[in-house]
Amino acid sequence: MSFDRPEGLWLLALAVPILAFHFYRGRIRRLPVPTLLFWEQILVEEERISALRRLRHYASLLLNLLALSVLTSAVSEPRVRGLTRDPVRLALVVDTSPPMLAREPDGRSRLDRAREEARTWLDSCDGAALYDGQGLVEPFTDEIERVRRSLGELRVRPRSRAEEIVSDLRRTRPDLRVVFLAGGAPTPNRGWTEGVCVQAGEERFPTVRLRAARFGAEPVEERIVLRWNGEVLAERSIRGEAETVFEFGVDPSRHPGRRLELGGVLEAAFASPDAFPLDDVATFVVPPSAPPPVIVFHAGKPDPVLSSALEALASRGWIGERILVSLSRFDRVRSAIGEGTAVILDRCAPPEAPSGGSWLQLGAASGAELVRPVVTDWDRSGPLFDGVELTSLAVQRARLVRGGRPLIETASGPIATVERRAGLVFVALGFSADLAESDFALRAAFPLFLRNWFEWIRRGATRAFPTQASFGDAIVPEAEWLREGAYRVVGAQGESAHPVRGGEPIVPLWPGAVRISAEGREEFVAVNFFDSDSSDLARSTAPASDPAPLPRPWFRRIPYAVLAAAIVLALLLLEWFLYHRGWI
Amino acid sequence: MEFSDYRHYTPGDEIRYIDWNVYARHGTLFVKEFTAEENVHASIVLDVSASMSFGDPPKFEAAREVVAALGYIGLANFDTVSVYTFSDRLATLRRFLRGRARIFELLSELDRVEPGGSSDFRAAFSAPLPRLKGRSLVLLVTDFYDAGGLAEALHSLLSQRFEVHLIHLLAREEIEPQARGRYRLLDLESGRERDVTLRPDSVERYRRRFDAHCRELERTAREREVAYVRIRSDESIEKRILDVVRAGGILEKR
Repeated sequence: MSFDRPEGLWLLALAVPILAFHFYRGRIRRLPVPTLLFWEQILVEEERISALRRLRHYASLLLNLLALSVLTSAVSEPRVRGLTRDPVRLALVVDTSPPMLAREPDGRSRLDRAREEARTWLDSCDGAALYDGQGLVEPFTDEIERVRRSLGELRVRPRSRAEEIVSDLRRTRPDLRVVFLAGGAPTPNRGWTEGVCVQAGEERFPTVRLRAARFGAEPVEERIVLRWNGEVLAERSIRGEAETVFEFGVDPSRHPGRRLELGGVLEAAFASPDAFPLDDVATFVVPPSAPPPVIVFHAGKPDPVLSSALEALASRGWIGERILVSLSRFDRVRSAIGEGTAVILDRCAPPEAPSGGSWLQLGAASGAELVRPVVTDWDRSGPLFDGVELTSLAVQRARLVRGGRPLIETASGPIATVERRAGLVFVALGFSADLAESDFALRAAFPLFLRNWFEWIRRGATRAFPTQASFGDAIVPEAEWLREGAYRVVGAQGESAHPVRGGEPIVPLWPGAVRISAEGREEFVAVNFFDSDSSDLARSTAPASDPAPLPRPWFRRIPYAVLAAAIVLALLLLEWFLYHRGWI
Repeated sequence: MEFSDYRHYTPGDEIRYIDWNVYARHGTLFVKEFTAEENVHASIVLDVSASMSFGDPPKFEAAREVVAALGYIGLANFDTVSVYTFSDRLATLRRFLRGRARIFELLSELDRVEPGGSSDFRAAFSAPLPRLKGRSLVLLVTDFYDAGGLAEALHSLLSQRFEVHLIHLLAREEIEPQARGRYRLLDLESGRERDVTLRPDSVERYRRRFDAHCRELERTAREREVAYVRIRSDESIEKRILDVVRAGGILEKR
């Protein structure tokens, strides 16, 4: 027999005062009575049962000593071979890799099965720590309910290092029994392992290319359902070979009335779900294939060079509808400025902050005026200046442009910049198309620059978030949208708010289209699970684990200190009851 | 003879006592009742044994007040009042007092009495109690801690044609003992001592025995057609006297 807390045995010293009180009779007090007649009759009765009474007298002492023993045992925590059991201290490691979302034959996911198994272990332990595939979730604690709660909050994350955590724990925490909950029976699966949405420069519309793979079973004919903005667009068949490439051209002419040219969310899903639904759907955000509409605001008279350049671009199909309008009519036209609209400000500035569109300001009048500045450099590798040569650009006068990323540099500073404000893209040139300011409009570079700008807009220049993200990774903005406030995120598993500062990163819990919105704008991000390693569920690398022990009966789950306190209370109540009944 | 009340006529009543005027008015027969003045001799016997000094307030103080009040009632009604004390023998305090003015004499005598000795009813009432012609009452104020001799004492008094009233005086502490723990009990009359542990069950047994003792006294009184009343020393003097007067019918029987 040993004690976990031997210092608790000092409580036994309380037996001394208990014994002293019991055997010390104290000073007897005198009590006058009118007659001893009745008392003597009672004493005669009591003497008849005195032997038994003496025994009962010791019963009181026994109850007190018993209560003290229980208290002492509660504090000192004795260990008796064969009577008490060693405490069970667990380190529960739950694999949270994506394959844990595979469904077992009973319809539950492997993660749910692992949770259930972990709860059984928790029923039989005295303390536990909880780890997921990323690391420590709940430090070791004897508050089992806390571990249970954390267990319920576990989510699947990519790149699990659960096995590494298990071996670390075995090496560094010999005091803990490590229980690894992972994997399951091999499951045949098929799904998308790669995917891309591309549009070459000469192509009129984008094409979606997907790679499907089948694991652990014979190839079969698979039906693919294509959805455009959530509605069924078409159905196709593929032969589910080990590696099958599936292509779909997002051609608006083949689906009239569905407005594919405006862009949207395309889903390619296997018609019949399998045990691992994570890779059964591929999602893409398809950019618009239609040329952007253009609105030109001018101070009173449109620039003829700019107008002819736009006319030339329109005749080649690079831009859509053109509206040339005086800035004084801004209020009437502003409702026509949509998300994909290109807006050119010809030597003027908007009267109020714009709420949509992409903006090009020619002849920005914000900075100091420069006379015959020499262009020293420009953004040669950027999309706006692809094929544009500005080496001998003759600028008669220009203004410095402040803020944003420089596009054209002079010795005195930038005379062209690109800047994002409130999720919109502003390109500002410190000189206009007016020939009195530069010869830019006479050069072939001018329509090329405009075409680059329109193409850049069409391909999503205004976007803050990427169009694609990998499942499990945080979706982070690539360009500034919000400085303060929160993004509202709607995904396959509900809606949430993500503050820009100090908030949780946006990590979707399920693949699919994620809608991110703020300040009246919205963007879609396609989240896909393209991971052939995790998709192949036929392999199982999880080491075999011990079966969970039988759960403890309910009374073993009550803390011993609580149980001991209840016993002591019961003993004292028993003594009080027996005393008042005259039995002790 | 003095008119005292009316009552309904019942067969056998004297026809001459029917009030015909009332009959003429109400059509119902009523007979008139009369009370006769007679000489009453009240002998008040006060227990002065040591057990009467028990209680808070002491039973003896309460008993003295009761005796004084009863004495005054008697004297105020021009009855003859004698007061005796007894423990193991009967002693005369004052005899054949008559008239309201004698109350002060009685009170000063009562003041001088102190409790002591043990009670012995048999010895105290072995000799005949002096009595006068006419109705004679004996009002016995005691705590009855010599129950064995009570029967003989009652027999003696009743055979002398006394109308006996038993006034049982108790202290709250002897009805409901509050003490718990180890005590050395001292018998106030015999001086004997006994060590006991007063536990709730012991006290409960005492209470049952004491109740039985009181019920036995009541039964004895009822069997002998003797008035019996129980009063407590911690009650007010008014309540004690009213209880005595009502239970014994002392005023009505005069």
